[in-house]
Amino acid sequence: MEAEMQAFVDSLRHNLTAEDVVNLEACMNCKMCGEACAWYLVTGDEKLHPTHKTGLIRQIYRRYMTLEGQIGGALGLVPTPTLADLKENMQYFWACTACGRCTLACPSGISIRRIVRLARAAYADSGLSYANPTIRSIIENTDRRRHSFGLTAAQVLGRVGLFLRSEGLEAPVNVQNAEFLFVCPAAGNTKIPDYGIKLIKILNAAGVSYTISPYVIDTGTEIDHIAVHHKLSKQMLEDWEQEADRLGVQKILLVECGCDTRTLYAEASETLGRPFRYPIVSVDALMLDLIKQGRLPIEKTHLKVTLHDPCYATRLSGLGDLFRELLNLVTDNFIEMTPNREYNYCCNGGAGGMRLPENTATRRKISVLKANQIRATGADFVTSPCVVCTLSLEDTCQTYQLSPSGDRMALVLFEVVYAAMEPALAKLGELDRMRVPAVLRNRDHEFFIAHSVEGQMMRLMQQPDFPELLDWLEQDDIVKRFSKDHPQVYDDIRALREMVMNCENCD
Amino acid sequence: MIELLNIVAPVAMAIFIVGVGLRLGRFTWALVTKRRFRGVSPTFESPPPRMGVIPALYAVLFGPFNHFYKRANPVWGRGYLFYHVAIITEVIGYTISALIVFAHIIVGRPVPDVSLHLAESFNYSPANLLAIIFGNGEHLQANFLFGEFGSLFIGVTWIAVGFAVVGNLHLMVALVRKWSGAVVGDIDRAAQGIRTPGRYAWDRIVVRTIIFCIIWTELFARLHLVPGIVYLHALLGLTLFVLLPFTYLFHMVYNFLAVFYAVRRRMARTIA
Ligand code: SF4
Ligand code: SF4
Repeated sequence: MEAEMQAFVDSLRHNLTAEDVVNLEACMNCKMCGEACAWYLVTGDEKLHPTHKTGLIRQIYRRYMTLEGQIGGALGLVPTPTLADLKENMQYFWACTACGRCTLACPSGISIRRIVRLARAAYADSGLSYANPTIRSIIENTDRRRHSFGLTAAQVLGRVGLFLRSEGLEAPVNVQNAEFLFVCPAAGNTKIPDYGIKLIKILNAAGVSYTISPYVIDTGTEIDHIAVHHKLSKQMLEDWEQEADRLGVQKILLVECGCDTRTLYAEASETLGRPFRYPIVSVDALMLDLIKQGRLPIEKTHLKVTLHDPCYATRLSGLGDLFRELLNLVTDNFIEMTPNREYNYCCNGGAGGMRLPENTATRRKISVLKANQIRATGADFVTSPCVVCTLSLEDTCQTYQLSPSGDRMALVLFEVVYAAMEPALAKLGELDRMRVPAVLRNRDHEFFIAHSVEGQMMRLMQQPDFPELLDWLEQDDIVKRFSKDHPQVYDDIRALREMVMNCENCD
Repeated sequence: MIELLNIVAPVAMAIFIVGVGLRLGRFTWALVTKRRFRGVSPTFESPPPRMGVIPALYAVLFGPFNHFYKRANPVWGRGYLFYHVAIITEVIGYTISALIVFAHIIVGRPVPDVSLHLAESFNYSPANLLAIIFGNGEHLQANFLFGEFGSLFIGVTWIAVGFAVVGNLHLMVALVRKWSGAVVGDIDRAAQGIRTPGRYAWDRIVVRTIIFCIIWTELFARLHLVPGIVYLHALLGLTLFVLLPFTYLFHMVYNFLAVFYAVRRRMARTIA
C-alpha cells in the first residue's frame, strides 16, 4: 500500500468511534439521503450524491479494516480503492458543506457528515489535502500565523482601528479580568469587519464587560471544519483557553458563526478529549438577556425580514428557538421561510462551500433553492446568525437579483438587533453609550492608551512596517466597501500617513 | 425438502453467526477501545432544551417519511412504512417463537411435529424446529407456542401479513419502475420541479423477490393451500439468514444501533 493510502487508513482507524462504525456499517445504500442534499438535487450529479462520498470511505473501511474485506480483496472479490481514487474523488468531499441535512432523510438517521469529517481529517493526515491550494493555505496560515486567512494581528487590529476611528468609537484590548473574551472568527475579521463594528457598538451600549485579545485573532473555525486538521484545531482551542487564563476572563463569548457554534457546542469535546474549560456564552443569548434585563434599549424595527437557520447553529447545535426569540423581540415583521429550522436548506457557503473558489459555479447554481425560499417569503431582508451564511446569502441574493436595486439584502443577525437599538438610543438621547466600552469608562489616560484600540494604533504607528500596513488598507476591498458609507476613511488613512511621516521628520 | 433443510440449516446458521459476529465484533471492539470524552460541551451556557426520547424517536423514525418521501417518492415511502411495520412485527414473532421452542428443548419437553401434524413429539430436527418457528402463524404451531393466546397471535400476524403484502408490493413497484432512490414528486416549494433518476439495483431485486416469495409461501401455508410449503417458507427464510451478514440486509441488525445513535444525537440537538 502506498504511504499516503496507509496514512489515510491509519487516520480513519485512529479517529473512528463506535458511532462511526455504525455509520459505516449500517448504510443500506438506499440513496434516500439524496432527497435532502441541495448539491445533488440541483445538479443531478451522482458524484455529488451523499453516498458517493460515503461509498468510497466505506470501500476503504471494508477493504483495509475488516477481515472479510482483506480476504475478499486478496482474492479479488472486494474492490481495492487506490491512491488515484482518493485523489480523483477528493474534490467531492469539499463539494459538500457537511451540513448534515442528508441525515434527516436517511431512514436510519445515519450521519453522513461524520463520515465526511473523517474523510477530510484523513486527507489532512495523509497530506493529500495539501494538493488543494485553499486547504493548504488554511493549514499553513493557521500553523504559521494562527489566522486561517493569513492576516496578522496588526492587520486585524489596524483595520478595525481605522473603522472605529472613522466612527469615533473605542473597543477594549488586553484588559485583565473582564467578564468575556471576544475573539472574532477569521471569516468575520477578514470579510465583514465593517459590519462587525455594529456588534462592538451593541456591546458598548449595553455596558458588557469584554475584551479583545491582541494575540488570538482567530477561533479555528476553518481549520476545524474545512481542513479538519485535528492537531491544529486542538491547538487553536488550547490557545483560546490559555489566552482566557492570561487575561483572567470569566467566559468566552461565542460570536455569530455557525461553525464556531458547532465547535464549541459539540466538536471541541471530541477534539480536546475533555470538556472545553471555560463557560461559553452565545452572543445571541447574551443580546437576548441584555434586552430582557433592559440593559440594551430597543425599539422594534419594521424591517420585513426572514431568517436563514445556519445548519451548524440550528440543525447541528439546536439554537433555532433562541434566534427566533431574539428576532421576535427586535422586529415586528419577521417571516418564516419554508422549510425552516433543522429542515432548512443550507446556504451552501459553510465548511468550504464558499471558501474554495472551484465551488463557485456549482454553489451559485444550487443556491437556486435558497433563492426560491427567500423569494417566497416576500421579505426585504434575510438575516442569519452566521457570518459565512450571510456572505453566502448576499451572493445568492445578488446572483438571483432578489433585491431589485442590487442593495445589500443579507444581514448578520446582530445587524437587525442594531437596527432596533440605534433608534431607541437616539430617542433616549444616549447614542454616546455606543462609543466607549464599559471596561474603559472612567479610566485614566495611561490605562486607556494601554487597553484601547486607539492605543494599539499608536503602537502600530511606531512600527517600521506601518506604511506597508497603510498601503494594504488603502487597497483593501473591505475598506473600499466601508468607504461607501464612510468616504472620509481614506482621509483618515492619509492623515495617519502624514502623522507617521511627520514623526519620521521629527527624528 | 425436509432432508435438504436438515442439511442446510446448520450450515446456514453457522455462516449467519460468524458473519454477524464479525460485523458486530467491530462495533463492540470500537466501543471498548475508543472511550474518550465527547458529546455536548457541559460548559455551553443556555444550551437548547434536550428533546424527550419519544419525540426524538418519532422524529428519527417518521421524520424522513413526513418531510421527504411522502412527497418526493410516495410509492417507496408508503412501501417503506408498511413493510417495516410488518417485518418488525414478524421478526419479533419469530424471535419469541424461537425462544419458546428452545426453552422447551432445554427442559426436554415435547414439541409438535409439523410434517405429521402431531401436537407432541420429540422431533428436534432443524427442519421441524424451523417449521415451528417460521410457521408460527399456523394453528398447530401457534397453539403450541402461545397456548390460549394462539388465536390472538394468529390475528396479529394476519395484520402483519397484510402490511407485508401491501408494503412489499409498493417496494417492488418502486424497484421495477427504477424509482429506488429517485425523486418523482415535488419535495417542497423551493425544490419544485426537481426530479432525479433512481436505480435498478440487482441486489435489491433479488432480495425483495425472495422476501416476496416468503410472504406468499406464508400465505399459502396459512391457508393450507399447498401441503408442506412451510418448509419452502423456512428454506427461503434461511436463505435470507445466509445473505444477511453480506448484503444490505444487515441493516436489520445494525439499524437498531444507527437509530439509537440518531435518537441520542436528536435528543442533544446535534442531528448529524
Ligand atoms: S452534508 Fe449536506 S452537502 Fe453534504 S452530502 Fe449531506 S446534505 Fe449534501
Ligand atoms: S439514506 Fe441512509 S441508509 Fe440510505 S444510502 Fe443514504 S446514508 Fe445510506
